[in-house]
Amino acid sequence: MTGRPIGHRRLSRRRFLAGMGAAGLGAVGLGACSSVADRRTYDLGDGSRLRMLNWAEYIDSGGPNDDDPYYAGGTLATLADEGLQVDYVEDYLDNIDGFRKVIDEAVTPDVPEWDIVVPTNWRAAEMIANKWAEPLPIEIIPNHVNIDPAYLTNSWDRGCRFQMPWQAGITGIAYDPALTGRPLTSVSDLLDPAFAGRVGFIGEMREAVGLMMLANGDDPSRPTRAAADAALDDIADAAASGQVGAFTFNEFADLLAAGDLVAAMAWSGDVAILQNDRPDITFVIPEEGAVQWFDTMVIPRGSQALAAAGRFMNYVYDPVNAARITEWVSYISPVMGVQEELLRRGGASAELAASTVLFPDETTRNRLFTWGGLDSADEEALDERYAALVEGS
Amino acid sequence: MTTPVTNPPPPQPEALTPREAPLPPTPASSIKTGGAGLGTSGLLQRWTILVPVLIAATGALGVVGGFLLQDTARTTSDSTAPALIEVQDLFASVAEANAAATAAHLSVSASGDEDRASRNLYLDALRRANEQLTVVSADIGRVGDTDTSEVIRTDLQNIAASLTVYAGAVEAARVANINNLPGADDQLRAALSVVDAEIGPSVASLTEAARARYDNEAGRASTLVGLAIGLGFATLGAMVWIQYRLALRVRRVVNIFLALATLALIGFLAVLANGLLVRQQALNDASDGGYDAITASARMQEATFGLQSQLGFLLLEETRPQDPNEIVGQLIAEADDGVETIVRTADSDRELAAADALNVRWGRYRAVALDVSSMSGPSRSGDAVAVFQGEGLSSFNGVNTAIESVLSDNRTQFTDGVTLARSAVERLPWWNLALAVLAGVLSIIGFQQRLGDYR
Repeated sequence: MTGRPIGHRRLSRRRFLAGMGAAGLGAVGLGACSSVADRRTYDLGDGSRLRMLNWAEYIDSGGPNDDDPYYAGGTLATLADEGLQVDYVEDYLDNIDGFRKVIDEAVTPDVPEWDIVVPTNWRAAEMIANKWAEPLPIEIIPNHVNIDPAYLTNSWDRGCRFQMPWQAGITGIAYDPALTGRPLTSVSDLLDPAFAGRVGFIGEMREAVGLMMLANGDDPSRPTRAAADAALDDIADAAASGQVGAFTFNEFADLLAAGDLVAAMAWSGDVAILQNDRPDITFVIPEEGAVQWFDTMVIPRGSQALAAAGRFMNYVYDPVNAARITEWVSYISPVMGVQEELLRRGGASAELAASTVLFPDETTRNRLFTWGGLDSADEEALDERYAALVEGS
Repeated sequence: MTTPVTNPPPPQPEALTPREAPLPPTPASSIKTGGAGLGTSGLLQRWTILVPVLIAATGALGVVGGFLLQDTARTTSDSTAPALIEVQDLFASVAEANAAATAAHLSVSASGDEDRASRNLYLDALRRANEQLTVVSADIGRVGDTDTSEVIRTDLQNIAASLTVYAGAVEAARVANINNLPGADDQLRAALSVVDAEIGPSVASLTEAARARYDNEAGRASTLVGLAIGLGFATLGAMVWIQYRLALRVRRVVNIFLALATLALIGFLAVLANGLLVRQQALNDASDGGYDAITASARMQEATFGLQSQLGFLLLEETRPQDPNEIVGQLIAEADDGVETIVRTADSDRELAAADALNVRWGRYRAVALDVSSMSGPSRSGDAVAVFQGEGLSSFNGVNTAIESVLSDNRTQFTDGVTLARSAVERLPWWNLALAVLAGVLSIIGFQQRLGDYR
């Protein structure tokens, strides 16, 4: 036990998304680079040093300032004690510009700048499809067997041969009951004129469109271009009418806390952290359902530190270590045995274990939808259209 | 008028026939190789003709054999080997669809709501199965010149038809189930039976036929190439013998062209033998190291899928079968054997890791399967259904994807071997042709040489 407050994370998994206008650039113009992927790296390296790029505040942190990822007893410090120095950088800003940077580095030089990056599932799928990812060195990751089978059946990487999920989350609705004056239960509640100008929509296209598709009775896990366009039309109408006060990423938490927004499409983990200070803020999975996603560890092609990457992955897939990370980041752990470990710890940890947001039961799981994906041209068109909405807001 | 005077042509050395061959002690400069005047001129003259013919025959056999090796290696690499693997993937997809369809069906009965994740898994797996069937058909279904073709075509047709029937039965069961109409369980049972009674055996037959084709392709042309090598060695012996006799007769002078022809023939034989051996070794390695493990994985898949299917049957039964655990126990024993074989035959760290992971995931599913089996009946048990569609489906997917991982590693080993076999013979016929022509031409020139031309 760290003794730190559970869910102690002031910033979010994602920061402000700069340059949404560059949407789709990660995929555009890189197809010709796939031949680079023919080169394979078999040298696992000495396993002593690792360069990892992750989202902000997405690992257990502590120390005097409560935000030191190298704090004694934490994941990174423990690994350093065991001979694995992790150069950990929280600079993966988004799946657009951040991803493009990773890919530029992954496919152009012989050795990429990072040995582990943590893109969201759909971006990881793109990396794997384009052969921009190294196969995992599973021979040094015995804890690979602890991956929740729910993550093993993705058609783009069956059996998780190229990626290991880091954390998963839910995009639902957060609201301040005192300001709404009533419980919010549906996505359509966000379109209530009573909340005009004080509603936040999430900046990630797949999550906002997914939620709106659910409101329209469509299934975002099996999307069609027509259904996605219809959802985008609704969002555009809401933006044009002044219903949407802001398109946000993690800023929704500050805006909700300040009362600038009464309700917002929100990330489950960020709300959990906000609830440390504002327990009255409520997070709901709408009755139509919510969008689930996961960020996942990928080794860019050409990494010379496969052994180190494997050691790191193995460490964080030990349920004891994974439970500590869960306590800090408050997102859904893809590691089997974390819930049992939290229960074993008792106290506040055991309370976390009872959360259906962190550990969705069968009923809750049935209400979560992971974006199913369209072909790349359609996805790109939707990205561009949504980026225009976000920029125009 | 002047009569043109023409000079008589300068005397040309005559091409001697044995009967014209001068007898010793004719000056060596006027002796042709073929005549040699060794007192055995008839024999040597015959060799003069025979050796180029032997070289031509060897070359022809070798070149044809080389082309056959090349052709079969390409067929193996492009169609038979991929098909062998894809058939296993196809079966895995059908089994996954089957398990998910059963879980989705039972979820409606248990809670009134269809489990969406299971339904999506079913749809994805069915789509994948149809895509894989298309790929397999493209790979081996259209190759129509072997004995196995008819079997393969029939199996593919059966699988395609059965998949359609299966999907129809699942949809009928779903509609009936969601609308609470009678007969839903019977329709799902019918769907499960299609997999057990139609698709499973067809996949097994298809695998067997594809394997037979693989073995046939591995052995094809070997006899022809073996003959070429045998004949080549006989020719080589004859050439060496002739040169030895000539060396004795003309005191160690060397017929450069015959010597070069001999070297060309040795090169021909070396290239041919090397191509055959490397190809055979690569195919054997692919089979021993890769495909045999793939076969073990396939048996494991079969047992696991059969187990999941059997559990579905148990939960659909209104009355408890007489001894439901007998079949379950048998399938578990088969899968146990499969895991043990896979772990034992793993021959690299990576394969061993995948095999260990399979062992762990199989252990989890095994425990759940035993739980469900012991809980089910005499009529459908809510607890058993909950375990089956929750932890059961989850752990089944875990073991299924773990088998796929094992398959993936072995498939790499298998395809690498097949690719090596192909590359070993890719340029073989052209090298053979070039060296055979070279040896033939050099031998003909060599036999036209006079001893005076010797060095």
